[in-house]
Amino acid sequence: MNKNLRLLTEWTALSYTKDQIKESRDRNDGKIHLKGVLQKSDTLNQNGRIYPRAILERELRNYQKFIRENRALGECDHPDTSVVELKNASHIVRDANMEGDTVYGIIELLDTPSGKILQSLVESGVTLGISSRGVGTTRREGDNQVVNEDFQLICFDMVSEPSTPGAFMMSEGKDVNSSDLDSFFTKSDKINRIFNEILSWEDSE
Amino acid sequence: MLKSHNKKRNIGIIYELLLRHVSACLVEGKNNDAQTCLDILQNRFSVGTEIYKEFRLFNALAKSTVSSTSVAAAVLSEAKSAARRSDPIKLNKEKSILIKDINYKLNDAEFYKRRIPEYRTYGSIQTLLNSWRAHDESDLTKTVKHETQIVDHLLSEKKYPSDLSEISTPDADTLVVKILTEKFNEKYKDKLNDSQKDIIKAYVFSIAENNDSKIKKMLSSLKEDVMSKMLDLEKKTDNDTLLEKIDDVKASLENLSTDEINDSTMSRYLVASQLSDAIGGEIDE
Repeated sequence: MNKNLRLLTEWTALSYTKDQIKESRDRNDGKIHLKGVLQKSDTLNQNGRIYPRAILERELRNYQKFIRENRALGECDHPDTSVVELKNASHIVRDANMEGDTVYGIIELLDTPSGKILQSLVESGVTLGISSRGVGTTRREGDNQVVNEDFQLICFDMVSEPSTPGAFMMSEGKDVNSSDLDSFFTKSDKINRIFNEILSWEDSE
Repeated sequence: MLKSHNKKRNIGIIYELLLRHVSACLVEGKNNDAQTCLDILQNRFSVGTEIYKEFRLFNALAKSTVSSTSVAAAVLSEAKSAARRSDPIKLNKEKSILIKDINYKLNDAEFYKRRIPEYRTYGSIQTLLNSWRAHDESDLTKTVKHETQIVDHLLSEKKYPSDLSEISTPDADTLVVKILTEKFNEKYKDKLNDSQKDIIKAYVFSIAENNDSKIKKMLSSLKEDVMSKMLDLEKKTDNDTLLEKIDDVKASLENLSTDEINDSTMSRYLVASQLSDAIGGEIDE
């Protein structure tokens, strides 16, 4: 576990129809809300990685604070950094919850420049995907890479469908600058993460 | 002619390698493997064995610091006499059993590959002990070269990390502490804060010394500190997420036992220490 933390991204397709988009605008004061699968645990993903359920559950628990504080922003396309740049924010996650091994979520497309690009794309029927962005290390188990305990979920980005498995490997795998990560998580985020760990003691007793 | 040096029969190197194996096992949580190695140390280096006698002699040359060349020469002369009083056949037999124990009981392919910083000095000391014991004076040039090296070593100041004296006890060999600290710091330098490292050290020594008074005191003080910081946090933060959870977290921390010291309690105290560190002095949100 002496390895450096690396950027890890995973892609999941979001399926929607033009009618669903129109209906979403009608129901949500003109805003587009997309519902879908954000991530899966204990499942081999396109990049040959597996996220253990306990780790994904923990990260989702920590992510609730971002959702609650209206900070669960994401970008259009993956940048190769571990932080979310406000100027590139295109959407916000309004809800994320786990049912079994699947993380379901609701994403609202923002009226920012990047958000408007996304709105235009989805209204034109372009297939987009949702991709989690996080930092951590992995270990090899057989043919697969399993995500280690040190994984920290950063955000969910909207990305185009990768043509081949591992298409986002170009930007990922990069060593993460720990000071960037430090500045991304606020002091209360860090305390909240530890609170959640302490509160999980009861479950393990 | 002086025989070439065999590190598997170098008592100083083997002792260090055994300690490194113990510390590696402890750091990786392989407590049973660590105990197997400690059993080997206890059995093969027990008082009265030839290995024990040679190890004491070896240590006198490796660890002592003297102030003048004449004293160093006297130490060397005494060591030579002591080496000649040992039983070489019995010593060789004991070393063979020790090597067999290492090869068959430890199951560690890396055992002999670990780096020993004082390897050259240890090599010279063992070569000299072997040649003195065998009354081998066939290669005086080499003997003089080794003896000169050991005299220089005896005159040199031995450096250990400054904080070792604080955690070393009569029951815990300084070398054990040194190796454990080096290994531990290397592996966890970016993952643990200073307080967490201190807690782990105290925990390890509480087991080694069978005395948990120091660790209990440390945990009690940590608990007090983190509870006080939680009260500060409660007063100063306006973060709803934290405020919603604060009472439950305080209750969990309050329930932490300072009497029952085990791995599970320790891991919780490490989290408490992390929390204390995260809250810090100022609540700026």
